[in-house]
Amino acid sequence: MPDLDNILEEKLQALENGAPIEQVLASLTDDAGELAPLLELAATMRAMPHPEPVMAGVPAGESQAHTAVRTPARPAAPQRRYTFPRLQLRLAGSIAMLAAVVMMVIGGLWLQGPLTARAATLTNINGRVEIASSAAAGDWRAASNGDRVREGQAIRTLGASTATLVYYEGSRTTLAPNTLVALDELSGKWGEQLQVRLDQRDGRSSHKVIPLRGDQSFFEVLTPTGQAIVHGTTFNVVTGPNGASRFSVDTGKVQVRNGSSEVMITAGQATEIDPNGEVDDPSYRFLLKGELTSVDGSAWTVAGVTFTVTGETVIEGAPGLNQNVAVEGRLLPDGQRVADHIAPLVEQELVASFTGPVDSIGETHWVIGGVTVLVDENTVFSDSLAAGDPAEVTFTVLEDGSWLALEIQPLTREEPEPEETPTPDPNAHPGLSFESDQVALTACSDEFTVSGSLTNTAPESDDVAANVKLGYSILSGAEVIDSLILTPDQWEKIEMGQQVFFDIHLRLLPDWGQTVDQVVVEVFVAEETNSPGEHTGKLTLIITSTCQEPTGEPTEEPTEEPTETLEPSATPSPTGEVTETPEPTEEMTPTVEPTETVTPEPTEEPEETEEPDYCVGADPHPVGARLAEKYGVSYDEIMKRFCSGYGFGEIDHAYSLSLESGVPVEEIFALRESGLGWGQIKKLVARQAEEARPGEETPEPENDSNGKGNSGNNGNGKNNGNNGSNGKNNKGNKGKGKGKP
Amino acid sequence: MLNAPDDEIIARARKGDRTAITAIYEQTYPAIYRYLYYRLDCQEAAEDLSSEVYVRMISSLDTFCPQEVPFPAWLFQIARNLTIDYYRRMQHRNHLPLEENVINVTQDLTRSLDGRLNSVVLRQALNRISENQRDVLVLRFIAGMPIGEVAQMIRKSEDAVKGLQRRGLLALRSLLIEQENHHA
Repeated sequence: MPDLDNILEEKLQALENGAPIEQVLASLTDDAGELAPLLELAATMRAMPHPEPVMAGVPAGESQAHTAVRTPARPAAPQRRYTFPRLQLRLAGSIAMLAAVVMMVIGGLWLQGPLTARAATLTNINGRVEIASSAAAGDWRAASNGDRVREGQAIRTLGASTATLVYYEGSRTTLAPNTLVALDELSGKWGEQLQVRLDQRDGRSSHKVIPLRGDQSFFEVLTPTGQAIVHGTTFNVVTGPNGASRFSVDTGKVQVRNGSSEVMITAGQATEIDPNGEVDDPSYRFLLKGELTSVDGSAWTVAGVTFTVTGETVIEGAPGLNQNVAVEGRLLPDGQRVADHIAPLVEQELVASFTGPVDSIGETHWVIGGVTVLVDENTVFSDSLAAGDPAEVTFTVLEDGSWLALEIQPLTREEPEPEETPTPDPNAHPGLSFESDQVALTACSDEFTVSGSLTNTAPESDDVAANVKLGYSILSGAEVIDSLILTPDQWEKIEMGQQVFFDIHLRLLPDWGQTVDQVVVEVFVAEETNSPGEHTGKLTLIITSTCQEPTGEPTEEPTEEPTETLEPSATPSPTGEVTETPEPTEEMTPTVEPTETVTPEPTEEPEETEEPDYCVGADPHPVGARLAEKYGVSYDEIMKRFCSGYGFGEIDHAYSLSLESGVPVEEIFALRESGLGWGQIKKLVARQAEEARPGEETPEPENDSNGKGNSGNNGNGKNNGNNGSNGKNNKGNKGKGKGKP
Repeated sequence: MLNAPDDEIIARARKGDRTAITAIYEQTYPAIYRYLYYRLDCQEAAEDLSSEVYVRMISSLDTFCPQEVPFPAWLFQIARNLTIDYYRRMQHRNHLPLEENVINVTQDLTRSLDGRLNSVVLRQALNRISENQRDVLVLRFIAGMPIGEVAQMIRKSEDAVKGLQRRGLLALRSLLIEQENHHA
């Protein structure tokens, strides 16, 4: 076997030394013949014209020091010619001064600022996002990740679609579904000075603005009724359908104004400009995530908290009683809670929170923003809090209606720092692939949960996938998608051979089948640090409407009449559950878990003609088998969970949690069935595990704790710090545990 | 090909001689620009970073050690570092495969590319191969840098660079043929 690398280099050097290509090619031996086209290509690259900087004219009689400096031309675009100031350097200047002056000369574009500042990059596109040459032009075209958006252009997101604009110095704007913004101004100056003026015509946007540098920087968001001006902050803007605008701040501060009316809102505060242009006084915010239990006119109750829904409240979808929703709103000075935005919630994270200044601190209760909350020994808070400080309270509603604080934290006033980009590991070459590349359903219902899985198929143990994030595109039917949520949609790490699971929660508009025949969604790996761009696999979900079929023939209920019943598992499940759910063996798309009646449509191997059952796919189901092996339980046990309505992702999560905490998995599923979200379950399980070790003292660390330890835990570092005296709790529990010792 | 300034000019530039700095700039700018043009996916960024290379050069001239690294390699290293910073800042590397492209040897390697290869087509194809392969090809065949200096610059052995060179050419050729077929 010839050493092709060395032969190639030898021949390339011959070319460099002036040998004709024909002669070099002729000198190749037969076993190195494959190098011929490579040598030709190398020779072509060397000989072909490359983009050449166009040199500006040199005025006659000028010395070299006064030579006009040159600037590059664009090879593909019409050439531009710049006139540069003369080089006027002073020998006595410091290196820094020299750098600045030469920069001015060399840059040529100094006065215009960096060209990269004149465009923002679209990233994290989910669903369907479109760009137009201007908002008025209406020439919308589909956008894709990496597209550059320039001044004057407009961007809009359709239903269930989101996108992020990244500006050249790292600031970001994230657009929620059904949002339209125009880039009225987009420019910058040297020294990472950013100049942005966005015109938000509709929808919701969130902004993370890196502290602006220099006196020429600005970042403004215009709405039909007002304007937000920031200098480094994280904030949100909502433009309502009637023109009202709402502004809220997560960190930093924002100046909100309309004409001569102006207010400054700080972290945890919000304000509204009504359709008449009146700017409200700043108020504090509240956030509720929980079940909608009552709708009494304008008074709604979520998670035990009653608030007012006004004509200005933006309500996504049509939330009904007993449905989980997320509510954002404001606590008005008179104590009234007004909802600004209500959206459906897939994850059952039943969390309620609000912000406000600390009025008083007591042993059994605190008053924050005029609201009394109880505290107990489990309330986590910071010692640094004092009366007058703005704080965020996470609470739960007790049976008697009082609010028990779970956590009270100071609102950060810090301005956001630029996000650090993870550094790729050059030794890791992960390969991520989806378990199946297509799932097809025919259905008439409007809500689905489809499970999928992603496996790192790389061969080496070093091939870890890091910071994996899923994204999705809506290829068809965007107009009928009410919401689309992937849970989870990111993983910090996926080891070689590891399989992770996720659910696609898709909610369609009622009677969607009257509008479109099909909804097609593609799920893909949007981000991965170690081999970005290499994970090209996709999971395509195709839902075909059966709504227009004759109503006299009801859609089949595949789970009601299984055609085959399996023998009970040879290995009884630890719970002693009776195998009530029969498990037919039809092979079908394995990962579909519809929440309502749907008819599966196997797309690859349609040999099955019998009525299928969603509970079981291939026999054995590969995902079920892997989970059984992973957790050392019977296959039947896993599949029973699956057939009782849990996605594989949830099952994996529950067993993982059980393994980490020592809490029996049955208890974890029981908590889930009681309506708790996984976040809450995690906290409860952590507490339970803590209590189960009453006599166990926290082991002394060998070295000083670094705040990230896992004392009191099994030390696997996977429970996110919710167990024992780990980093997260330490951080939040600097205090003495207010109330009962 | 980068016209390397002579030692005397570099020494004068290190002392802040404006004439020497201008001379270095004029001698090296075209090659630096070409490198950045092919190395980045955004033409405006190539123009911006070309300017920034010289700002960095001036502020770092006092740290340049001619005994350790040739001046052209040092200057290209500045440009290369800026491209890395650029991609980190922009965080849209999804389309930049970092893993090496390995081409199936059964591919039709005898097919000749027609004469349509131009800088735009070449840049598109270069942006689809791995960063290391791209570095090697651009530095070797566009900047005209010797293989030893390329190795020094990307901190790999000469043998590793030779391997990257051959595999990079294979990958590039395959992509160019693919692009040609696509437009045919």
